[in-house]
Amino acid sequence: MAKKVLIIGWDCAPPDWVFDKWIDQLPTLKSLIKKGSYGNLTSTIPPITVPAWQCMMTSKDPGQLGVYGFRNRKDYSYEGQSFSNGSDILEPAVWDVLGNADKKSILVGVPQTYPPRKINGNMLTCFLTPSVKTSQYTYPNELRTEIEENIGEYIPDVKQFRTEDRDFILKQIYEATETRFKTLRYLMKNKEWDFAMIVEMGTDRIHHSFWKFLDPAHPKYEKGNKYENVIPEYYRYLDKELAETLKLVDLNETAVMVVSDHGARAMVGGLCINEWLIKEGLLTVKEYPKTNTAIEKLQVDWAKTKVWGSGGYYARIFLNVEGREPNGQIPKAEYEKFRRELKEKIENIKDEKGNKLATVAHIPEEIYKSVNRIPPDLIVIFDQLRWRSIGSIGDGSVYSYENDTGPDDANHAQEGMYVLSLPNGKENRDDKHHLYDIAPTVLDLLGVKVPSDMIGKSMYGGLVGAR
Amino acid sequence: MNMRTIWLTGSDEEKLISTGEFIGEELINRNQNIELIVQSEVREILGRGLKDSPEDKATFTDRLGFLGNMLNRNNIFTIIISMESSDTDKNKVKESYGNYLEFKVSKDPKEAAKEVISKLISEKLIPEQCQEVYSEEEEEEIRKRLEDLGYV
Repeated sequence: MAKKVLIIGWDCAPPDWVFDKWIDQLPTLKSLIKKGSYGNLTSTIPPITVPAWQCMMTSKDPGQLGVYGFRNRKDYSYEGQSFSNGSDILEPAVWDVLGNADKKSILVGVPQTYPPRKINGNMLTCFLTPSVKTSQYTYPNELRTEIEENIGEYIPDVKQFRTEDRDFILKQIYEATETRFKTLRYLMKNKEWDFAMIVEMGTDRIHHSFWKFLDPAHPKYEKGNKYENVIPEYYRYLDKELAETLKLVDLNETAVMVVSDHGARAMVGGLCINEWLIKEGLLTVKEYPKTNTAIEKLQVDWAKTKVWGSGGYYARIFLNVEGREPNGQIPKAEYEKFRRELKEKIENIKDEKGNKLATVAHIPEEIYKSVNRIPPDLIVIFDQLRWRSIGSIGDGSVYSYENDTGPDDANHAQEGMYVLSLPNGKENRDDKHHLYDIAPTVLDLLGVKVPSDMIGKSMYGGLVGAR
Repeated sequence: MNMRTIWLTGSDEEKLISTGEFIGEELINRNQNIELIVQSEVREILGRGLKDSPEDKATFTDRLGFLGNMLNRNNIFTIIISMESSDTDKNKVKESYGNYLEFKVSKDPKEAAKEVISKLISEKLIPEQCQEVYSEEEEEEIRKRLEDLGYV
């Protein structure tokens, strides 16, 4: 057991790069690896920040949480979608379970913790905080003033991301990261805690902005380019922040984890899902736009539409079902058959050159333990995430090599990473864990009973020298 | 008035309390005020002066109903965890206070809570969806940010 557990979250950190390419440049992380288990950490379907971090910390799948991504249907209308936030999470997270056992937590920037809610401890909310000037972003309320007086303005995320000025993005990422780690260390020094956790989003932002400069697998990579070392340099900086943070803990009694919610990979291009649906005769718009336009801004002829989709790093597919949607076109009795046929068709979409893609269209009821709220009818991961989904219409082509919302170099990968360093632990690579295992591991390490409905398993018992 | 006093009845107090807590969370997320009253915990105070005779038990049940009704009048949903009140006593409360709803809980608390919430939604006592966290301006800000980040 450990007296305390510290989790450093690096959103989007890819194990194949961190462990296999950069580890010798990351001495602090390497020292943690020497004292514990590490490896790939399988992410959720979809492998997206929301819901992945909350799935990790509740040990529940997206269906159980009723959160299928950043945007979810709130009803069966065509327009009814809302942005997910912390109030959607009704399952107890690890800090709730610890609080019931009288243990105190510190949370900094854990995704989907806005709006803040009561915990036994202190928290600052995540990048889904609308504004640190007008929104309440701490628990307890007065912590906000304390942080502003002692650290300065809290920066939950990069303020301006979609710009071609990469130097400006980089500057913002470093500023935000520095502020967040200072905040974490301030809390670790000044508040009681048994469990502390930070999720650093800079890793995700830097991948999306700079991946093409790094990865020879990216179609636009140019050897020797100006930004080639930007990402590894940032990881070296993160390693220094990790070292500074570890100075505040006694490693003889603290278990330290470094985890990510998913990985990263080069993005080959985008599949315009609604363009494909139009070509298949499944979607009809009243007037085809002259420029790329989001489907939400177009007049869809629902009487002639059976399917529509949404963009993002994966596709959400919605069926227009009789008696369910306002102008449903698929008879209820034919729904399952239609969905299965559509799944097969989507999985057979080829790239522009006619090559087969490793696409999977998931049926939510088949991959989740339960399905709460309103799931998409299909969740599509194109070619193991080498392609993203583009929801807008107007390009005239099913394929796009520019993102509809601006430049973006990376997509997510299914495998995230973890390191679990223990007092008296020994190095051991184990790639079989799922992010659902993190919450039970934390509870197990702190000697708190793991709720029987958590779907993951503690890693702790299986570690060399763990007990 | 849309408030109700929700009586959760059954033989397993732990299960009833869990169900009450799940219902409470759903109601709070819909911006409702709630009060969870566990009969065995308030017996000492609310049952002061009462013994175990059938008449006294009926009085105690009536007091719970009265309290629930008063909280309802102040826009608070009341959830009563009840293992001790007889059907006859509860029926009297039901007659006295029209805001009475009873659910016999024998299944998994989450499933039981879902049924209660569905019933409250179907009777239009609570909104189908949880409260909106973001104002329109904030929603637009989040939309823009998530679009910029490529998430949607």
